[in-house]
Amino acid sequence: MSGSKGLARQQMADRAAMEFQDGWIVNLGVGIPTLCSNTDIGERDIIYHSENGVIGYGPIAAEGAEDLNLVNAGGQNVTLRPGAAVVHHADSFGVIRGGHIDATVMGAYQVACNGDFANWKLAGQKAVASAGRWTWRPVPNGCLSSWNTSPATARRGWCSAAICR
Amino acid sequence: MRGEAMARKSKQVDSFREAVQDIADGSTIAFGGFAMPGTPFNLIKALLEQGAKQLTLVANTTGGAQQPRMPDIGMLVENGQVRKVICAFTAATRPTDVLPFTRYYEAGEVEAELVPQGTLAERLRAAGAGIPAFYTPTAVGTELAEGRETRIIGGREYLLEYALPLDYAFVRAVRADTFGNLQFHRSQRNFNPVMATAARVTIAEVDEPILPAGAIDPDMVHTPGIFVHRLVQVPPSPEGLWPVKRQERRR
Repeated sequence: MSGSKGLARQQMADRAAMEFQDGWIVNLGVGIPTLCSNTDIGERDIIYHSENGVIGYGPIAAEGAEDLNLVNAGGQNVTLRPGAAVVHHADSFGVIRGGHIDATVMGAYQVACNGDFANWKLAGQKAVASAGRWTWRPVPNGCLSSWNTSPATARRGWCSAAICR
Repeated sequence: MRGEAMARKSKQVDSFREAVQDIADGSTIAFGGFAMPGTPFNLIKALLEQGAKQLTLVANTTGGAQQPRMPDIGMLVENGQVRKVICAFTAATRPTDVLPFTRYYEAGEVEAELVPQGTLAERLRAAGAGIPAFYTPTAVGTELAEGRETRIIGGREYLLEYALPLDYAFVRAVRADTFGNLQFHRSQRNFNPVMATAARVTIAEVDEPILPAGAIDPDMVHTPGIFVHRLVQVPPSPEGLWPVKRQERRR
């Protein structure tokens, strides 16, 4: 994306959401990926899963209409769609590990043009942000698409996004 | 009869101070919560005031990444009460954010055991369910698995993980009866039910007035009272601490 203007955060999420197919259950990770739940998905039925056990959430809540006990992976207050369900954390990761998810959108620090990406630790750093990210590693038949973020964040060398299946 | 579980009298205690006063130095304590929802801020605050030291603390994060800052593990570390933290994050998800905890960790002043978030939940679930260890595909092939026992099952490699039993669990629920049956609202649930099962003593802070036993339909109980030992009702703000909308930062 170097030399071009790049995409805004919501535009990146909208682009990712174009990949979602009718009937998919999609996990959205912290950062840009959570913005996918704001995207108008038209006639498609997409069920968004958040690692904290929320299955079937929708857009980020409007100002003044927030339920402070309902958040997505990034801690933002979201809304529920009809048919939503809530489970505890062990069951939520069972949903992922058990293969009940069709795709995840993950935040990443840095993405290479071959699709390799760094998403839980920076070189030379002892402390780590792990989240659910290791849980995705064993997903079989993985294919990965990725793209750069805006020039402002690309300059800082982190915060791209990837879709994993 | 295990611990205080079968007490017939109400499990409600009058104050957060009273609820945590017997916690000894060296205890292992888990805090529920994911972001604001379900986080027992009032019990954590009481633990700060109670002063127990050499604690091992278990939680998803060490806190402090978001504003406004609420009572968190970072504050207990700053207060000199923590020996070790077992959690899914020792750094913030955004590299430009430096957690209060991370400075102490990078300086070697506190230990940390990093556990993938789903493995953390499952280790707690296993502890509560009498399963001493289990195999999981998570973290296989990463530096977290280096030097550890793995096993090939059905042609795939799995990592051995051990149960994580607790001395205390601090949880937050929306509703409770005097027997300790709990209900959570929305994503308040998160780690709270599995932590409650893994602990010798579970202390719940509760949003609504404690109901008489039987007032919650048995089919609608999220965490049975056999796993809950003490209840404290959260007073209105500002005396009590409640979730607030997090402040979005500029990008």
